[in-house]
Amino acid sequence: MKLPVRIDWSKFGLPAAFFVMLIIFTVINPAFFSARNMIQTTRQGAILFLIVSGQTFALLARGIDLSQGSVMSLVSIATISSIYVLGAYAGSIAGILFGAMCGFINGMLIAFLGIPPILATLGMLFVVSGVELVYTGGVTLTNLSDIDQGRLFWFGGGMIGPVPVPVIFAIIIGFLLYYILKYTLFGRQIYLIGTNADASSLAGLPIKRVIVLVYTVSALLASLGAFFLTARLSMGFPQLGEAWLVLAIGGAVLGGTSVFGGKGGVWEALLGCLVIVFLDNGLIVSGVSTFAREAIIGVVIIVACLGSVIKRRV
Amino acid sequence: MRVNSDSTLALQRKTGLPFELRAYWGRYGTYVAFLVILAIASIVVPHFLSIDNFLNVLTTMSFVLFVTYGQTLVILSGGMDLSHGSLVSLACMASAALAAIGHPWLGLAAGLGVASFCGLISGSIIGITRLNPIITTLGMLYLAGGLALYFTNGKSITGIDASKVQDFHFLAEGRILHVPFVVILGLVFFFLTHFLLRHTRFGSRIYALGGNEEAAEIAGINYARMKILIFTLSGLSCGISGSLLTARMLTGEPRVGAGTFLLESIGAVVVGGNDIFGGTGNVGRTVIGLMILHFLTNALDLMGISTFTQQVVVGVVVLLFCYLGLARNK
Repeated sequence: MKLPVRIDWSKFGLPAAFFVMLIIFTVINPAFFSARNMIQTTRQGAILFLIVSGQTFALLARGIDLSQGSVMSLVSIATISSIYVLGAYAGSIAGILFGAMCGFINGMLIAFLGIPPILATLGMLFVVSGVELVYTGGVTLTNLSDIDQGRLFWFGGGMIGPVPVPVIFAIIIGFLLYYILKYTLFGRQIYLIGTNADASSLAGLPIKRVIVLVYTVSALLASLGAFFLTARLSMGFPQLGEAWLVLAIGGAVLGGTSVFGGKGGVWEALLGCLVIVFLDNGLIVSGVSTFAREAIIGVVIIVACLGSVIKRRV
Repeated sequence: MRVNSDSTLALQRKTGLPFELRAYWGRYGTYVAFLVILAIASIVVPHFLSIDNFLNVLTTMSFVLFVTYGQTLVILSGGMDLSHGSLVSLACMASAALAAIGHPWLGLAAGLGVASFCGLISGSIIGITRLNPIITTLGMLYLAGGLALYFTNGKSITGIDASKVQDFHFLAEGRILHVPFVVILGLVFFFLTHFLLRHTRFGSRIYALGGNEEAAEIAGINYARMKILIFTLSGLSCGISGSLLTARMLTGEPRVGAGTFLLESIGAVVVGGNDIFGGTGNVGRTVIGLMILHFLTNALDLMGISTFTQQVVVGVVVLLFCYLGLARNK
């Protein structure tokens, strides 16, 4: 039997799967579709979206950023420590800039020393997590003053009307990133470099500058994600980012961003991170244990990547 | 993943060394660095230069050694395996689970089997669908890590009776003529890997794939079969390390591979001076690379520097050698 309208599954397959997933989880446990759960999940989704978008920048330029997780942990620690000294607002900005700086170093290592992205960021992963463990001794940082805690918590746990604050920030940043990737010189240069580095070098693109910027943006977005998480917990947690790296890469690839560079964008990042966040939440609501959830999400990421490979060949 | 080859070229122009010198540095730089580190540590660090300490370092190193053999095969063939840490944990749990009920040898087989099987899956996905190895093994890292924890809900497996599993325990802790058995085992597997790479058709195919994938395929090398074999062997190498760790600790630790295992496994290959994009290098270099990392951390240890700081140093050393390695590979 032929459908009257041909559906382009490479485009609508994932959104369709997403809605089917939502329905299944709602049938298993109606609490899944409650307003409260949805708000919680979008809050989580907003944070993941920021991180995935950062990873998308790296992937678009035909790189990869493995240091995102440990940079997130570092930001969590740095934010709280600087709040001790500088107060909630200035301290938060200092923490986020600290994370962005790691990305800047990544970019320098890759662009100017010619170290392959995967190694540069893997090395950075261990350097950064070592540094923050030396600094904290592996201990969680708490004891914020009440005023600072109140101010900080608003960013992660607050609401504007019915919408969580991180979601609003994520939406604004999302549009901004969309604009940058689509309509600015920098954005187009990323796609060009990702598609063909040699050709763009011959065409006179400032490759080094773009690469440095790409990794700075990647770390900056991861840092923003880490900041909202930290704000919500109101403490500096040295293992904050550990679990997020795989989700970040997985989310980006799941949404359809190519690991071979030059293909993908903010829309793909959004799609991928929504699927992961709602899948994770749905599994929790259905009573699946933490560790089984990790395994299931690992499988989903691999399977989804397979889908993208098959798509590419057709 | 070669982002900008022009910057590496520019860099080589800038180093300004005459060509012959650079070639020598490329060939012998790693060995020189190793000897320099040994010499400095022997002079500066008290208690460093003793047979006991060296045997100690070699023993600790041996548990990671097997993993680096697997990684060498993968990287030489132009891939990379990021799932190593989790596979070690999974093998450790599998072998401990069976050793705890009194079947250590079945446990060993299970550890080897489980890890090889995970490698087989990664390899099949990479080989048949041509999915990027980094993404595939990253997914496997998550999957196997989750499984290792799922077995016991994150708890360790204890209760392996040392008196009942003496032979098994000997694998990791025993000594023959004062030499730890794991070190001998490591040496045996070194020769096996070396033989595999240098004197079999399989080995030369690995180099061919790493050198130029397209050309290798046109020349008739079966891409899928090669990738499946290579990643299965890589998984097997994790199985060996994981099972030996069980034999040593007599507990199943679900996070045993979570620490610096991955960095060391890739780091050893890089520090040893193998080409990270595949095609050139050998397993001897990997061993030297791992020795550099381990003697260095041992020296820092003896100087009373914390484990966390060591982690930073290892990270920086890997980055530094990677930079030097790229500068000399042309």
